[in-house]
Amino acid sequence: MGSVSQAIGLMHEKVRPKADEFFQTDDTLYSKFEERTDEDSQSYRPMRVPMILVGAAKFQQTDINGGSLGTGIAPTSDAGTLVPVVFSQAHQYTKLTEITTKSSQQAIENFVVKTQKLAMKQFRERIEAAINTDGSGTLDTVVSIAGSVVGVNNPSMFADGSQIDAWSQIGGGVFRGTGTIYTTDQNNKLINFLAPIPNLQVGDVLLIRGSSGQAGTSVAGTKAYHVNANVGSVMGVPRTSYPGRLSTPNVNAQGLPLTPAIARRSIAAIQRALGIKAPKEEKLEYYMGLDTIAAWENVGISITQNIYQQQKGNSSPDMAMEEPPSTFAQRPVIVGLHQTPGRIDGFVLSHWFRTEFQKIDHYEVGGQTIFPQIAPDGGLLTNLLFYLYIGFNIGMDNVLAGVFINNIPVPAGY
Amino acid sequence: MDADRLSVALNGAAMEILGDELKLMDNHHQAPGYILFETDEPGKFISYLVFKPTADSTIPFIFAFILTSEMDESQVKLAVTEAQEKFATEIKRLEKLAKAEMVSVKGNDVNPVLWTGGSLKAFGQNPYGENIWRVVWAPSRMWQVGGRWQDREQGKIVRTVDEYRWIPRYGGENGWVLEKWLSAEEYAKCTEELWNMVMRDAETGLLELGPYPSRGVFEAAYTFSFYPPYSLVEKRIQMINYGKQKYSQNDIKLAHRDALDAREKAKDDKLEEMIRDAMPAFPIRGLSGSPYRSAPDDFKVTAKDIAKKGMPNAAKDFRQVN
Repeated sequence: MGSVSQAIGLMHEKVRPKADEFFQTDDTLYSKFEERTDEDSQSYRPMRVPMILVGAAKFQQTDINGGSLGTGIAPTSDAGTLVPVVFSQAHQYTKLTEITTKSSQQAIENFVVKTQKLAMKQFRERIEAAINTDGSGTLDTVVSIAGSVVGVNNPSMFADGSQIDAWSQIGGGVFRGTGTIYTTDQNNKLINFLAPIPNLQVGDVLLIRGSSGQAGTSVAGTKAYHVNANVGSVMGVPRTSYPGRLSTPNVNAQGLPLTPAIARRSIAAIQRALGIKAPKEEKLEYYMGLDTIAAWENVGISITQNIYQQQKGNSSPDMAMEEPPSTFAQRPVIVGLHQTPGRIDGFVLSHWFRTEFQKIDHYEVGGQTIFPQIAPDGGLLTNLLFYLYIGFNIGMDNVLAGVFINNIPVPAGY
Repeated sequence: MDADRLSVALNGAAMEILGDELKLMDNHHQAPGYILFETDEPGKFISYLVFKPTADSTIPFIFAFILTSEMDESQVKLAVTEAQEKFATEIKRLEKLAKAEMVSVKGNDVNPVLWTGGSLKAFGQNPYGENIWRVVWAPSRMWQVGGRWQDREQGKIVRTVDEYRWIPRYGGENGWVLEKWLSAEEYAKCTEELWNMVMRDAETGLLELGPYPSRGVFEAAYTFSFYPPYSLVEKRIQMINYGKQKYSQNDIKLAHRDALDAREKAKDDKLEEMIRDAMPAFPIRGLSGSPYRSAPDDFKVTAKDIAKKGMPNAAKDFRQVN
């Protein structure tokens, strides 16, 4: 009869030559830090970050007709300390996946190359999440719980396959347990765990796996420095010792929508603290999430990203296209998925630095970076393991050189 | 607890908690001790904290708080503590407001230098008959800013002053700024009353952006680093207006998401090349090198290189292992 079932043995099987990735690997802020901040190589001993925090000017009108000139004073210095924190990420694949996907005749992509590539991208994305924390390793707070599905504020802070630790609070909290994330749901702000975390409650904090649940023990992220308070500490230096000197200017939007007035208040705060020309001279840049940049461009006083994208590829000699596409109060914008919704940070990157004793690299033993596992019978397993790791921390030499806006309402869908 | 015992508990708490400046309203006209007023509701009493800013003040600040007959001594103490804290916060705020009225204003507003490259009247006018769009020379545009100023010399703080100052709005910007007029509502999305509450600097009580802009504000929309011709100014206005009319907030969000994805894709291609560079030309041992590090067994040859140059040259393309 010659039906299709008889011809099936001859037919090509079509595979779409492209496999989309369904998770974000954004590392915008970390890339900016790599590109624009100083790097200090250090040993395991804490790095000292000196700061002259109190000036000394015992100025007086003097009677030199036998009067006293008085005793003198001197400036007061203090030093913060930074210790690099080590992060690692493990991956593995089998020998069979390696040898059966190595050529374009076998697979649309080389599985080893793909795994290596995604490993690096996801590792950098995890570092991006880490530098968006407050120094305790806190990624987010539990907003809702439905079995193994947990609602959070910003699902971009979590990654598929990663483990997280849940604590009731930072500093003396109860350890709830460790959960493994199956997938993150960006649109609905949910995390799907493989299994529920026992006794997890709304308001609990979700931390990078291995964090100690104490303040100041993980990487000192941007929120460890951009704090407007006279309590707590900066790199171990208590804010109470130097009131006003270790507190970053802040604009509290108090639930009002993002407006040009709020943007201008942040500029005014920098001008008051660092000088009138500081926003331009200190190269102030704003770090915004999708919620705040969309709200800002929707105000109608700037060229929206959509227009820039339409202009791409045009041969127009228009100079606008060569300039940074997004600005906030005339300053360049860094858009990143890991920024806390409802928050904008103004960075003066020249005051930030990275301290490292290990750059991002494959974990290496004797030149070998891929390791076979050993089977229980003493033979080699055909699994191949590799690890990425880094030992680093983030520092800031003047916390006054920055500004942050918080409590901006977050519209639904962000 | 009846009214008498409640009064004793209140006096005890006051003795223990309140400082010299803050007192309960004194009942000295009638009998020693502090007043506990009955309210219309049975078992519910009201008392008052009193604060005189100076010894001879004739108008003291008064703060009321509630006590009930169901409270025990510790609850009375807690109520007095909470009242004291709230009152102290309120006094601080009122003192800042009082101080704010007396601070100095340094500098003056001046009319900005306007661009003369053409008329922008065609793009609309505000209710005051001014063009909605204008271009100004950045250093000439002033604005009033209030708060605590930290004056610096060579980067070091030399004095700290609480005051209002007229300063260049665009800081160190040297260029021509395209400005759009926004009504007070568009600029701040709040009433004058709300502005006077939320725009105050927490430390000084001064209005950070000066008085409520009832006549609206010209806000920066685009900065030209050169004296712009009319055609470019016109194009910018058209682009901004078109974006505002055409795209919703969600459209803008998606465009930024696309831009992030495109950046990731660009990095993706570079990363793949680096990984392939670190792979051996012949798959004898599998990958054993980092794309970010040179190791003895890294073969610096890619599939592309082989296609382009032919097979690797032992002398040129390989490095000694040991």
